[in-house]
Amino acid sequence: MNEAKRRCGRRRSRQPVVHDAQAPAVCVQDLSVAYEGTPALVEISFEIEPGERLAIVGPNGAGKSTLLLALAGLHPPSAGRIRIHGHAPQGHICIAFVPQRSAVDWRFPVTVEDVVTMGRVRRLGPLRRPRTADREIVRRALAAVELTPLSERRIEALSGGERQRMLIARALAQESDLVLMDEPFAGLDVSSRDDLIPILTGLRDRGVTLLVALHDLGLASAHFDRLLLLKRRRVGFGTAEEVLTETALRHAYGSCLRMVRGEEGVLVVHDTACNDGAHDASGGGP
Amino acid sequence: MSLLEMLVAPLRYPFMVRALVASVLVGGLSAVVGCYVVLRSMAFLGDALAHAVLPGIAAGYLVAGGANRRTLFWWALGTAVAVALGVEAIGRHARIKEDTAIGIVFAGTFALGIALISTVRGFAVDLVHVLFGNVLGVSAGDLVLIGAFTAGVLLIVLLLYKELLVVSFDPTFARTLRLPTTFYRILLLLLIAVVVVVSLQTVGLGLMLAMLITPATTAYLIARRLGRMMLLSAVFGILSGILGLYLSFYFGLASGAAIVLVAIGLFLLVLLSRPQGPIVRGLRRSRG
Repeated sequence: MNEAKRRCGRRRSRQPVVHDAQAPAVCVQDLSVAYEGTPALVEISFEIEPGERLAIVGPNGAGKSTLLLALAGLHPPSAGRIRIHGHAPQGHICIAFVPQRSAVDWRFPVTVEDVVTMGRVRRLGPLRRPRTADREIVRRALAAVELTPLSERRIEALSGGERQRMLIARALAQESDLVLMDEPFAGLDVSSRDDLIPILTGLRDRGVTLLVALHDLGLASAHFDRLLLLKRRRVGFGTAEEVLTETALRHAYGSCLRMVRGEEGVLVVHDTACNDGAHDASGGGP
Repeated sequence: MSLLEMLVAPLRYPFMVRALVASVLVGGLSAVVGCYVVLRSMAFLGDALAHAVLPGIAAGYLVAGGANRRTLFWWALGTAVAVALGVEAIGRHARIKEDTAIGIVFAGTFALGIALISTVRGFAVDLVHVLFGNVLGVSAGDLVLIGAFTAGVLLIVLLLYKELLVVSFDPTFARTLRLPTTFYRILLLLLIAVVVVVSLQTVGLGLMLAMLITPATTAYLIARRLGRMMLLSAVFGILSGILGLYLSFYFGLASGAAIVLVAIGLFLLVLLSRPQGPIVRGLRRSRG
Protein backbone atom coordinates (compact mmCIF):
# COMPACT_ATOMS: atom_id res chain seq x y z
CA MET A 1 0.00 0.00 0.00
CA ASN A 2 2.68 2.46 1.05
CA GLU A 3 4.88 1.47 -1.84
CA ALA A 4 1.99 1.99 -4.25
CA LYS A 5 1.18 5.35 -2.72
CA ARG A 6 4.76 6.57 -2.90
CA ARG A 7 4.81 5.89 -6.62
CA CYS A 8 2.32 8.64 -7.22
CA GLY A 9 1.53 7.19 -10.59
CA ARG A 10 1.07 4.37 -12.98
CA ARG A 11 3.27 2.08 -14.92
CA ARG A 12 3.05 3.13 -18.53
CA SER A 13 4.48 5.85 -20.75
CA ARG A 14 4.96 9.46 -19.60
CA GLN A 15 5.52 7.92 -16.24
CA PRO A 16 4.96 10.19 -13.26
CA VAL A 17 7.88 10.49 -10.86
CA VAL A 18 8.55 8.19 -7.90
CA HIS A 19 8.56 10.07 -4.63
CA ASP A 20 11.90 10.54 -2.88
CA ALA A 21 11.23 9.30 0.69
CA GLN A 22 14.00 11.44 2.19
CA ALA A 23 12.94 14.69 0.53
CA PRO A 24 10.55 17.15 2.18
CA ALA A 25 6.97 17.21 0.87
CA VAL A 26 7.45 20.73 -0.45
CA CYS A 27 10.77 22.49 -0.91
CA VAL A 28 10.75 25.97 -2.41
CA GLN A 29 14.04 27.77 -3.05
CA ASP A 30 14.34 31.43 -4.10
CA LEU A 31 11.10 31.18 -6.06
CA SER A 32 10.09 34.18 -8.14
CA VAL A 33 7.00 34.28 -10.33
CA ALA A 34 6.00 37.06 -12.69
CA TYR A 35 2.96 37.80 -14.86
CA GLU A 36 4.11 39.37 -18.13
CA GLY A 37 7.09 41.00 -16.46
CA THR A 38 5.26 42.16 -13.31
CA PRO A 39 6.65 40.32 -10.29
CA ALA A 40 3.98 38.54 -8.22
CA LEU A 41 6.34 36.62 -5.94
CA VAL A 42 9.97 37.44 -5.18
CA GLU A 43 12.57 35.03 -3.83
CA ILE A 44 10.36 32.85 -1.65
CA SER A 45 11.94 29.93 0.23
CA PHE A 46 10.39 27.46 2.65
CA GLU A 47 10.14 23.75 3.40
CA ILE A 48 7.24 21.60 4.53
CA GLU A 49 7.43 18.01 5.81
CA PRO A 50 4.89 15.35 4.76
CA GLY A 51 1.64 15.60 6.73
CA GLU A 52 2.17 19.21 7.81
CA ARG A 53 -0.55 21.84 7.45
CA LEU A 54 0.55 25.22 6.20
CA ALA A 55 -1.61 28.33 6.06
CA ILE A 56 -0.50 30.91 3.51
CA VAL A 57 -1.63 34.33 4.72
CA GLY A 58 -1.19 37.90 3.61
CA PRO A 59 -3.16 40.83 2.18
CA ASN A 60 -4.85 40.74 -1.22
CA GLY A 61 -2.32 40.72 -4.03
CA ALA A 62 0.35 39.25 -1.75
CA GLY A 63 0.87 36.34 -4.13
CA LYS A 64 -0.98 33.59 -2.23
CA SER A 65 -2.86 32.28 -5.26
CA THR A 66 0.21 32.65 -7.46
CA LEU A 67 2.23 30.51 -5.06
CA LEU A 68 -0.44 27.77 -5.17
CA LEU A 69 -0.55 27.88 -8.99
CA ALA A 70 3.23 27.53 -9.16
CA LEU A 71 3.22 24.66 -6.65
CA ALA A 72 0.56 22.87 -8.69
CA GLY A 73 2.80 23.17 -11.74
CA LEU A 74 0.25 25.36 -13.54
CA HIS A 75 2.34 28.54 -13.71
CA PRO A 76 6.06 28.46 -14.50
CA PRO A 77 8.49 30.16 -12.07
CA SER A 78 10.61 32.96 -13.54
CA ALA A 79 13.43 32.02 -11.17
CA GLY A 80 14.18 29.59 -8.35
CA ARG A 81 12.89 26.08 -8.01
CA ILE A 82 10.10 24.00 -6.56
CA ARG A 83 10.50 20.40 -5.48
CA ILE A 84 7.55 18.27 -4.44
CA HIS A 85 8.77 15.04 -2.81
CA GLY A 86 12.09 15.65 -4.53
CA HIS A 87 10.80 16.36 -8.06
CA ALA A 88 9.41 19.23 -10.15
CA PRO A 89 5.59 19.62 -9.85
CA GLN A 90 4.98 18.85 -13.53
CA GLY A 91 6.02 15.23 -12.99
CA HIS A 92 3.38 14.61 -10.32
CA ILE A 93 -0.19 13.44 -10.74
CA CYS A 94 -0.83 13.44 -7.00
CA ILE A 95 -1.13 17.22 -6.50
CA ALA A 96 -4.71 18.27 -5.89
CA PHE A 97 -5.42 21.94 -6.52
CA VAL A 98 -8.71 23.55 -5.54
CA PRO A 99 -8.82 27.13 -6.86
CA GLN A 100 -11.02 29.76 -5.23
CA ARG A 101 -13.13 30.25 -8.29
CA SER A 102 -12.74 26.98 -10.06
CA ALA A 103 -13.33 26.80 -13.79
CA VAL A 104 -16.05 24.28 -13.04
CA ASP A 105 -19.46 24.82 -14.63
CA TRP A 106 -21.76 23.84 -11.77
CA ARG A 107 -24.68 23.23 -14.14
CA PHE A 108 -22.76 20.42 -15.85
CA PRO A 109 -24.81 17.19 -15.83
CA VAL A 110 -22.70 15.17 -13.39
CA THR A 111 -23.40 13.70 -9.97
CA VAL A 112 -21.22 14.07 -6.88
CA GLU A 113 -20.01 10.51 -7.40
CA ASP A 114 -19.09 11.26 -11.04
CA VAL A 115 -16.91 14.18 -9.96
CA VAL A 116 -15.13 12.17 -7.26
CA THR A 117 -14.58 9.35 -9.76
CA MET A 118 -12.74 11.87 -11.96
CA GLY A 119 -9.94 11.60 -9.41
CA ARG A 120 -9.28 8.11 -10.76
CA VAL A 121 -9.01 9.10 -14.43
CA ARG A 122 -5.26 9.45 -14.73
CA ARG A 123 -4.43 6.38 -12.65
CA LEU A 124 -6.78 4.30 -14.79
CA GLY A 125 -5.19 5.54 -17.98
CA PRO A 126 -6.93 5.85 -21.35
CA LEU A 127 -9.52 3.35 -22.61
CA ARG A 128 -10.10 1.86 -19.14
CA ARG A 129 -13.25 2.04 -17.09
CA PRO A 130 -13.30 2.29 -13.28
CA ARG A 131 -13.17 -1.14 -11.67
CA THR A 132 -14.38 -2.45 -8.31
CA ALA A 133 -11.23 -1.23 -6.56
CA ASP A 134 -11.71 2.28 -7.97
CA ARG A 135 -15.34 2.37 -6.95
CA GLU A 136 -14.32 1.32 -3.44
CA ILE A 137 -11.78 4.17 -3.28
CA VAL A 138 -14.48 6.61 -4.43
CA ARG A 139 -16.91 5.26 -1.83
CA ARG A 140 -14.36 5.71 0.96
CA ALA A 141 -13.48 9.22 -0.24
CA LEU A 142 -17.17 10.20 -0.16
CA ALA A 143 -17.52 8.73 3.33
CA ALA A 144 -14.43 10.63 4.55
CA VAL A 145 -16.06 13.98 3.71
CA GLU A 146 -19.52 12.79 4.82
CA LEU A 147 -21.11 13.14 1.41
CA THR A 148 -22.25 9.53 1.01
CA PRO A 149 -25.97 10.46 1.24
CA LEU A 150 -25.54 13.04 -1.54
CA SER A 151 -23.46 10.89 -3.91
CA GLU A 152 -26.27 10.56 -6.48
CA ARG A 153 -27.15 14.25 -6.41
CA ARG A 154 -26.48 16.52 -9.37
CA ILE A 155 -23.78 19.01 -8.39
CA GLU A 156 -25.79 22.15 -9.04
CA ALA A 157 -27.90 21.22 -6.01
CA LEU A 158 -24.92 21.34 -3.61
CA SER A 159 -24.23 24.13 -1.13
CA GLY A 160 -20.87 25.94 -1.11
CA GLY A 161 -19.52 23.82 1.76
CA GLU A 162 -20.67 20.58 0.11
CA ARG A 163 -18.92 21.63 -3.09
CA GLN A 164 -15.63 22.16 -1.23
CA ARG A 165 -16.03 18.77 0.48
CA MET A 166 -16.73 17.10 -2.87
CA LEU A 167 -13.52 18.56 -4.30
CA ILE A 168 -11.59 17.27 -1.25
CA ALA A 169 -13.13 13.84 -1.83
CA ARG A 170 -11.93 14.03 -5.43
CA ALA A 171 -8.42 14.79 -4.13
CA LEU A 172 -8.67 11.73 -1.87
CA ALA A 173 -9.78 9.57 -4.81
CA GLN A 174 -6.84 10.97 -6.72
CA GLU A 175 -4.67 9.55 -3.87
CA SER A 176 -3.27 12.98 -3.54
CA ASP A 177 -0.26 13.51 -1.27
CA LEU A 178 -0.38 17.28 -1.53
CA VAL A 179 -3.60 19.27 -1.38
CA LEU A 180 -3.51 22.95 -2.34
CA MET A 181 -6.63 25.01 -1.57
CA ASP A 182 -7.24 28.67 -2.31
CA GLU A 183 -9.61 30.31 0.19
CA PRO A 184 -11.73 27.21 0.85
CA PHE A 185 -13.78 29.07 3.46
CA ALA A 186 -14.67 32.04 1.27
CA GLY A 187 -18.41 32.45 1.03
CA LEU A 188 -19.18 29.64 3.49
CA ASP A 189 -21.54 30.14 6.41
CA VAL A 190 -20.29 29.34 9.91
CA SER A 191 -21.78 25.85 10.10
CA SER A 192 -20.37 24.82 6.70
CA ARG A 193 -17.03 26.19 7.82
CA ASP A 194 -17.19 24.18 11.04
CA ASP A 195 -17.98 21.03 9.01
CA LEU A 196 -15.03 21.62 6.71
CA ILE A 197 -12.36 22.23 9.37
CA PRO A 198 -12.24 18.70 10.89
CA ILE A 199 -12.12 17.23 7.37
CA LEU A 200 -9.11 19.38 6.54
CA THR A 201 -7.34 18.63 9.81
CA GLY A 202 -8.13 14.94 9.35
CA LEU A 203 -6.07 14.87 6.15
CA ARG A 204 -2.92 14.63 8.30
CA ASP A 205 -3.90 11.10 9.43
CA ARG A 206 -3.77 10.08 5.80
CA GLY A 207 -0.28 11.51 5.42
CA VAL A 208 -1.60 14.27 3.18
CA THR A 209 0.28 17.58 3.20
CA LEU A 210 -2.08 20.54 3.15
CA LEU A 211 -1.35 24.08 1.93
CA VAL A 212 -4.21 26.55 2.22
CA ALA A 213 -4.34 30.21 1.25
CA LEU A 214 -6.38 32.06 3.87
CA HIS A 215 -7.60 35.54 4.73
CA ASP A 216 -8.59 34.68 8.25
CA LEU A 217 -5.61 34.90 10.62
CA GLY A 218 -7.70 33.40 13.43
CA LEU A 219 -8.43 30.20 11.50
CA ALA A 220 -4.82 30.11 10.33
CA SER A 221 -3.39 30.20 13.84
CA ALA A 222 -5.99 27.85 15.33
CA HIS A 223 -5.91 24.99 12.81
CA PHE A 224 -2.55 25.00 11.03
CA ASP A 225 0.90 23.80 12.08
CA ARG A 226 2.72 26.63 10.40
CA LEU A 227 2.04 29.94 8.72
CA LEU A 228 3.68 31.56 5.75
CA LEU A 229 3.08 35.32 5.75
CA LEU A 230 3.50 36.82 2.30
CA LYS A 231 3.62 40.25 0.76
CA ARG A 232 5.19 39.40 -2.58
CA ARG A 233 8.22 38.46 -0.47
CA ARG A 234 8.31 36.16 2.51
CA VAL A 235 7.51 38.25 5.59
CA GLY A 236 7.41 35.38 8.06
CA PHE A 237 7.43 31.60 8.23
CA GLY A 238 6.91 29.42 11.30
CA THR A 239 4.35 28.83 14.03
CA ALA A 240 1.59 31.39 14.60
CA GLU A 241 3.49 32.80 17.63
CA GLU A 242 6.63 33.25 15.56
CA VAL A 243 4.95 34.74 12.51
CA LEU A 244 2.16 36.96 13.80
CA THR A 245 4.35 39.59 15.43
CA GLU A 246 3.54 43.26 15.44
CA THR A 247 6.44 44.10 13.14
CA ALA A 248 5.60 41.38 10.62
CA LEU A 249 1.90 42.21 10.53
CA ARG A 250 2.57 45.93 10.19
CA HIS A 251 4.95 45.16 7.36
CA ALA A 252 2.51 42.88 5.54
CA TYR A 253 -0.74 44.74 6.07
CA GLY A 254 0.59 48.29 6.47
CA SER A 255 -1.98 50.84 7.49
CA CYS A 256 -4.90 48.42 7.10
CA LEU A 257 -4.10 47.04 10.53
CA ARG A 258 -4.90 48.33 13.99
CA MET A 259 -3.35 46.68 17.03
CA VAL A 260 -4.91 47.12 20.42
CA ARG A 261 -2.96 45.99 23.47
CA GLY A 262 -5.43 44.17 25.70
CA GLU A 263 -5.34 42.04 28.82
CA GLU A 264 -5.03 38.73 26.96
CA GLY A 265 -2.42 39.83 24.48
CA VAL A 266 -2.60 41.88 21.34
CA LEU A 267 -5.86 42.21 19.47
CA VAL A 268 -5.31 42.61 15.76
CA VAL A 269 -8.05 44.40 13.91
CA HIS A 270 -7.85 44.02 10.19
CA ASP A 271 -9.66 46.86 8.49
CA THR A 272 -11.80 45.33 5.76
CA ALA A 273 -12.25 48.68 4.04
CA CYS A 274 -8.66 48.48 2.83
CA ASN A 275 -9.35 45.44 0.70
CA ASP A 276 -12.25 44.16 -1.29
CA GLY A 277 -12.26 40.77 0.43
CA ALA A 278 -14.28 39.85 3.48
CA HIS A 279 -11.82 39.94 6.35
CA ASP A 280 -12.32 39.13 9.97
CA ALA A 281 -11.01 40.71 13.06
CA SER A 282 -8.91 38.05 14.67
CA GLY A 283 -6.91 37.38 17.80
CA GLY A 284 -3.14 37.32 17.52
CA GLY A 285 -0.20 36.25 19.69
CA PRO A 286 0.73 37.56 23.14
CA MET B 1 -55.24 5.00 -44.93
CA SER B 2 -54.26 3.40 -41.63
CA LEU B 3 -51.30 4.62 -39.56
CA LEU B 4 -49.30 1.54 -40.48
CA GLU B 5 -49.90 2.14 -44.17
CA MET B 6 -48.83 5.74 -43.71
CA LEU B 7 -45.60 4.60 -42.09
CA VAL B 8 -44.86 1.95 -44.70
CA ALA B 9 -45.88 3.83 -47.84
CA PRO B 10 -42.76 5.99 -48.17
CA LEU B 11 -40.52 2.94 -47.72
CA ARG B 12 -41.53 1.71 -51.18
CA TYR B 13 -39.22 4.37 -52.56
CA PRO B 14 -35.52 3.46 -52.30
CA PHE B 15 -34.55 7.14 -52.04
CA MET B 16 -36.77 7.46 -48.96
CA VAL B 17 -35.15 4.43 -47.33
CA ARG B 18 -31.70 5.89 -47.96
CA ALA B 19 -32.84 9.25 -46.68
CA LEU B 20 -34.20 7.63 -43.51
CA VAL B 21 -30.95 5.78 -42.84
CA ALA B 22 -28.97 8.97 -43.41
CA SER B 23 -31.26 10.97 -41.10
CA VAL B 24 -30.99 8.37 -38.34
CA LEU B 25 -27.18 8.27 -38.58
CA VAL B 26 -26.72 12.02 -38.81
CA GLY B 27 -29.43 12.83 -36.27
CA GLY B 28 -27.86 10.48 -33.72
CA LEU B 29 -24.27 11.49 -34.40
CA SER B 30 -24.77 15.26 -34.31
CA ALA B 31 -26.91 14.92 -31.19
CA VAL B 32 -24.18 13.01 -29.29
CA VAL B 33 -21.31 15.32 -30.27
CA GLY B 34 -23.69 18.25 -29.79
CA CYS B 35 -23.73 17.49 -26.05
CA TYR B 36 -20.15 18.76 -25.86
CA VAL B 37 -21.04 21.75 -28.04
CA VAL B 38 -23.80 22.69 -25.59
CA LEU B 39 -21.87 21.98 -22.39
CA ARG B 40 -18.76 23.82 -23.49
CA SER B 41 -20.75 26.75 -24.96
CA MET B 42 -19.35 26.15 -28.43
CA ALA B 43 -22.58 26.84 -30.34
CA PHE B 44 -21.12 29.83 -32.16
CA LEU B 45 -18.07 27.81 -33.16
CA GLY B 46 -20.30 25.01 -34.46
CA ASP B 47 -22.28 27.46 -36.58
CA ALA B 48 -19.08 29.08 -37.85
CA LEU B 49 -17.60 25.71 -38.79
CA ALA B 50 -20.73 24.87 -40.76
CA HIS B 51 -20.59 28.12 -42.73
CA ALA B 52 -16.83 27.98 -43.18
CA VAL B 53 -17.26 24.80 -45.21
CA LEU B 54 -18.68 26.79 -48.12
CA PRO B 55 -15.39 27.95 -49.74
CA GLY B 56 -14.13 24.36 -49.55
CA ILE B 57 -17.15 23.15 -51.46
CA ALA B 58 -16.83 25.97 -53.99
CA ALA B 59 -13.12 25.29 -54.47
CA GLY B 60 -13.81 21.57 -54.86
CA TYR B 61 -16.47 22.40 -57.45
CA LEU B 62 -14.06 24.61 -59.39
CA VAL B 63 -11.15 22.19 -59.21
CA ALA B 64 -13.11 19.05 -59.99
CA GLY B 65 -15.22 20.91 -62.56
CA GLY B 66 -18.61 19.72 -61.35
CA ALA B 67 -20.71 18.69 -58.42
CA ASN B 68 -19.29 15.24 -57.76
CA ARG B 69 -20.51 14.77 -54.23
CA ARG B 70 -17.64 12.53 -53.17
CA THR B 71 -15.09 15.16 -54.19
CA LEU B 72 -17.06 17.91 -52.50
CA PHE B 73 -17.25 15.85 -49.29
CA TRP B 74 -13.47 15.64 -48.97
CA TRP B 75 -13.00 19.31 -49.85
CA ALA B 76 -15.58 20.24 -47.23
CA LEU B 77 -13.89 18.04 -44.62
CA GLY B 78 -10.48 19.52 -45.37
CA THR B 79 -11.82 23.06 -45.05
CA ALA B 80 -13.65 22.32 -41.79
CA VAL B 81 -10.52 20.82 -40.24
CA ALA B 82 -8.39 23.74 -41.43
CA VAL B 83 -10.84 26.28 -40.02
CA ALA B 84 -11.09 24.44 -36.69
CA LEU B 85 -7.31 24.45 -36.33
CA GLY B 86 -7.15 28.08 -37.52
CA VAL B 87 -9.61 29.30 -34.87
CA GLU B 88 -7.68 27.37 -32.21
CA ALA B 89 -4.37 28.89 -33.34
CA ILE B 90 -5.73 32.46 -33.50
CA GLY B 91 -7.40 32.11 -30.12
CA ARG B 92 -4.17 30.87 -28.54
CA HIS B 93 -1.57 33.15 -30.07
CA ALA B 94 -3.24 36.45 -30.90
CA ARG B 95 -4.59 38.61 -28.11
CA ILE B 96 -8.11 38.26 -29.45
CA LYS B 97 -11.13 36.85 -27.68
CA GLU B 98 -12.22 33.50 -29.04
CA ASP B 99 -15.69 34.56 -30.19
CA THR B 100 -14.17 37.50 -32.05
CA ALA B 101 -11.68 35.20 -33.76
CA ILE B 102 -14.54 32.86 -34.69
CA GLY B 103 -16.59 35.77 -36.05
CA ILE B 104 -13.76 36.95 -38.27
CA VAL B 105 -13.06 33.49 -39.63
CA PHE B 106 -16.76 32.70 -40.00
CA ALA B 107 -17.74 35.75 -42.06
CA GLY B 108 -14.46 35.74 -43.96
CA THR B 109 -14.70 32.15 -45.14
CA PHE B 110 -18.40 32.50 -45.97
CA ALA B 111 -17.65 35.57 -48.11
CA LEU B 112 -14.83 33.71 -49.80
CA GLY B 113 -17.21 30.85 -50.55
CA ILE B 114 -19.83 33.15 -52.06
CA ALA B 115 -17.16 34.98 -54.11
CA LEU B 116 -15.89 31.67 -55.49
CA ILE B 117 -19.40 30.49 -56.27
CA SER B 118 -20.28 33.73 -58.06
CA THR B 119 -17.58 32.90 -60.63
CA VAL B 120 -19.42 29.71 -61.57
CA ARG B 121 -22.55 29.86 -63.62
CA GLY B 122 -25.07 27.13 -62.90
CA PHE B 123 -23.98 26.53 -59.33
CA ALA B 124 -27.09 28.28 -58.01
CA VAL B 125 -29.22 25.14 -57.80
CA ASP B 126 -26.50 23.15 -56.09
CA LEU B 127 -25.91 26.02 -53.70
CA VAL B 128 -29.44 25.64 -52.40
CA HIS B 129 -28.63 22.01 -51.61
CA VAL B 130 -25.45 23.00 -49.81
CA LEU B 131 -27.28 25.63 -47.78
CA PHE B 132 -30.40 23.67 -46.93
CA GLY B 133 -29.51 20.03 -47.50
CA ASN B 134 -30.84 17.43 -49.87
CA VAL B 135 -31.33 14.28 -47.89
CA LEU B 136 -33.59 12.80 -50.56
CA GLY B 137 -30.62 12.78 -52.94
CA VAL B 138 -28.39 10.61 -50.73
CA SER B 139 -26.78 7.78 -52.70
CA ALA B 140 -25.72 4.36 -51.45
CA GLY B 141 -22.11 5.51 -51.67
CA ASP B 142 -22.89 8.57 -49.53
CA LEU B 143 -24.44 6.26 -46.93
CA VAL B 144 -21.26 4.21 -46.70
CA LEU B 145 -19.24 7.37 -46.12
CA ILE B 146 -21.73 8.73 -43.56
CA GLY B 147 -21.86 5.35 -41.81
CA ALA B 148 -18.08 5.02 -41.61
CA PHE B 149 -17.58 8.50 -40.16
CA THR B 150 -20.49 8.10 -37.76
CA ALA B 151 -19.00 4.86 -36.43
CA GLY B 152 -15.53 6.42 -36.17
CA VAL B 153 -16.66 9.52 -34.26
CA LEU B 154 -18.93 7.55 -31.91
CA LEU B 155 -16.09 5.12 -31.19
CA ILE B 156 -13.75 7.97 -30.22
CA VAL B 157 -16.42 9.59 -28.02
CA LEU B 158 -17.01 6.25 -26.30
CA LEU B 159 -13.35 5.27 -25.81
CA LEU B 160 -12.26 8.69 -24.56
CA TYR B 161 -15.45 9.31 -22.58
CA LYS B 162 -13.86 9.88 -19.18
CA GLU B 163 -10.98 11.99 -20.50
CA LEU B 164 -13.29 14.23 -22.57
CA LEU B 165 -15.56 14.52 -19.53
CA VAL B 166 -12.74 15.66 -17.22
CA VAL B 167 -11.26 18.06 -19.76
CA SER B 168 -14.68 19.61 -20.46
CA PHE B 169 -15.83 19.73 -16.84
CA ASP B 170 -12.72 21.04 -15.10
CA PRO B 171 -9.79 22.01 -17.35
CA THR B 172 -7.64 23.09 -14.39
CA PHE B 173 -8.07 19.73 -12.72
CA ALA B 174 -7.27 18.00 -16.01
CA ARG B 175 -4.01 19.93 -16.13
CA THR B 176 -3.02 18.87 -12.60
CA LEU B 177 -3.66 15.28 -13.70
CA ARG B 178 -1.18 16.13 -16.49
CA LEU B 179 -3.69 15.15 -19.16
CA PRO B 180 -2.86 16.59 -22.61
CA THR B 181 -5.67 19.18 -22.50
CA THR B 182 -4.71 20.92 -25.75
CA PHE B 183 -4.80 17.59 -27.57
CA TYR B 184 -8.30 16.86 -26.30
CA ARG B 185 -9.54 20.36 -27.14
CA ILE B 186 -8.30 20.06 -30.72
CA LEU B 187 -9.67 16.52 -30.95
CA LEU B 188 -13.09 17.81 -29.96
CA LEU B 189 -12.89 20.56 -32.61
CA LEU B 190 -12.00 17.96 -35.21
CA LEU B 191 -14.91 15.74 -34.15
CA ILE B 192 -17.29 18.69 -34.54
CA ALA B 193 -15.79 19.47 -37.95
CA VAL B 194 -16.40 15.88 -39.09
CA VAL B 195 -19.98 15.96 -37.78
CA VAL B 196 -20.66 19.22 -39.62
CA VAL B 197 -19.46 17.80 -42.92
CA VAL B 198 -21.25 14.48 -42.50
CA SER B 199 -24.51 16.29 -41.69
CA LEU B 200 -24.16 18.68 -44.60
CA GLN B 201 -26.28 16.68 -46.99
CA THR B 202 -29.08 16.10 -44.52
CA VAL B 203 -29.85 19.56 -43.17
CA GLY B 204 -27.40 21.78 -45.03
CA LEU B 205 -25.05 24.26 -43.46
CA GLY B 206 -27.76 26.82 -42.79
CA LEU B 207 -29.56 24.57 -40.32
CA MET B 208 -26.60 22.55 -39.05
CA LEU B 209 -26.45 24.35 -35.72
CA ALA B 210 -29.96 23.18 -34.83
CA MET B 211 -28.96 19.53 -35.21
CA LEU B 212 -25.92 20.06 -32.99
CA ILE B 213 -27.57 21.90 -30.14
CA THR B 214 -31.34 21.35 -30.11
CA PRO B 215 -31.52 17.61 -29.25
CA ALA B 216 -28.61 18.02 -26.80
CA THR B 217 -30.32 20.92 -25.04
CA THR B 218 -33.59 18.98 -24.87
CA ALA B 219 -31.71 16.10 -23.21
CA TYR B 220 -29.89 18.50 -20.88
CA LEU B 221 -33.25 19.60 -19.46
CA ILE B 222 -34.02 16.14 -18.10
CA ALA B 223 -30.75 14.20 -17.75
CA ARG B 224 -28.78 14.05 -14.50
CA ARG B 225 -25.56 12.61 -15.95
CA LEU B 226 -23.61 13.14 -19.14
CA GLY B 227 -23.96 9.53 -20.34
CA ARG B 228 -27.73 9.72 -20.01
CA MET B 229 -27.76 13.14 -21.66
CA MET B 230 -25.92 11.72 -24.69
CA LEU B 231 -28.27 8.77 -24.93
CA LEU B 232 -31.41 10.92 -24.70
CA SER B 233 -29.93 13.44 -27.11
CA ALA B 234 -29.33 10.68 -29.64
CA VAL B 235 -32.93 9.51 -29.21
CA PHE B 236 -34.25 13.05 -29.79
CA GLY B 237 -31.93 13.52 -32.77
CA ILE B 238 -32.96 10.25 -34.42
CA LEU B 239 -36.65 10.88 -33.70
CA SER B 240 -36.37 14.33 -35.29
CA GLY B 241 -34.74 12.80 -38.37
CA ILE B 242 -37.45 10.17 -38.84
CA LEU B 243 -40.48 12.33 -38.02
CA GLY B 244 -39.10 15.21 -40.07
CA LEU B 245 -38.72 13.02 -43.13
CA TYR B 246 -42.27 11.73 -42.86
CA LEU B 247 -43.56 15.29 -42.52
CA SER B 248 -41.50 16.22 -45.53
CA PHE B 249 -42.91 13.26 -47.50
CA TYR B 250 -46.59 13.89 -46.74
CA PHE B 251 -46.66 17.69 -46.73
CA GLY B 252 -44.03 18.39 -49.35
CA LEU B 253 -41.83 20.36 -46.91
CA ALA B 254 -38.11 20.87 -47.37
CA SER B 255 -36.65 17.87 -45.55
CA GLY B 256 -33.89 19.67 -43.62
CA ALA B 257 -36.28 22.31 -42.35
CA ALA B 258 -38.86 19.68 -41.38
CA ILE B 259 -36.23 17.76 -39.35
CA VAL B 260 -35.13 20.90 -37.51
CA LEU B 261 -38.73 21.93 -36.82
CA VAL B 262 -39.45 18.53 -35.23
CA ALA B 263 -36.29 18.87 -33.10
CA ILE B 264 -37.47 22.26 -31.88
CA GLY B 265 -40.98 20.91 -31.31
CA LEU B 266 -39.53 18.17 -29.08
CA PHE B 267 -37.49 20.78 -27.22
CA LEU B 268 -40.57 22.90 -26.50
CA LEU B 269 -42.57 19.82 -25.49
CA VAL B 270 -39.92 18.77 -22.95
CA LEU B 271 -39.34 22.31 -21.73
CA LEU B 272 -43.02 22.82 -20.99
CA SER B 273 -43.85 19.36 -19.64
CA ARG B 274 -40.92 18.64 -17.31
CA PRO B 275 -41.63 18.69 -13.55
CA GLN B 276 -40.44 22.29 -13.12
CA GLY B 277 -42.32 23.36 -16.25
CA PRO B 278 -45.58 25.34 -16.39
CA ILE B 279 -47.87 22.44 -17.41
CA VAL B 280 -47.05 20.21 -14.43
CA ARG B 281 -47.12 23.16 -12.06
CA GLY B 282 -50.45 24.23 -13.48
CA LEU B 283 -51.92 20.75 -13.01
CA ARG B 284 -50.67 20.66 -9.43
CA ARG B 285 -52.17 24.05 -8.73
CA SER B 286 -55.57 23.11 -10.19
CA ARG B 287 -55.63 19.93 -8.10
CA GLY B 288 -54.71 21.36 -4.83
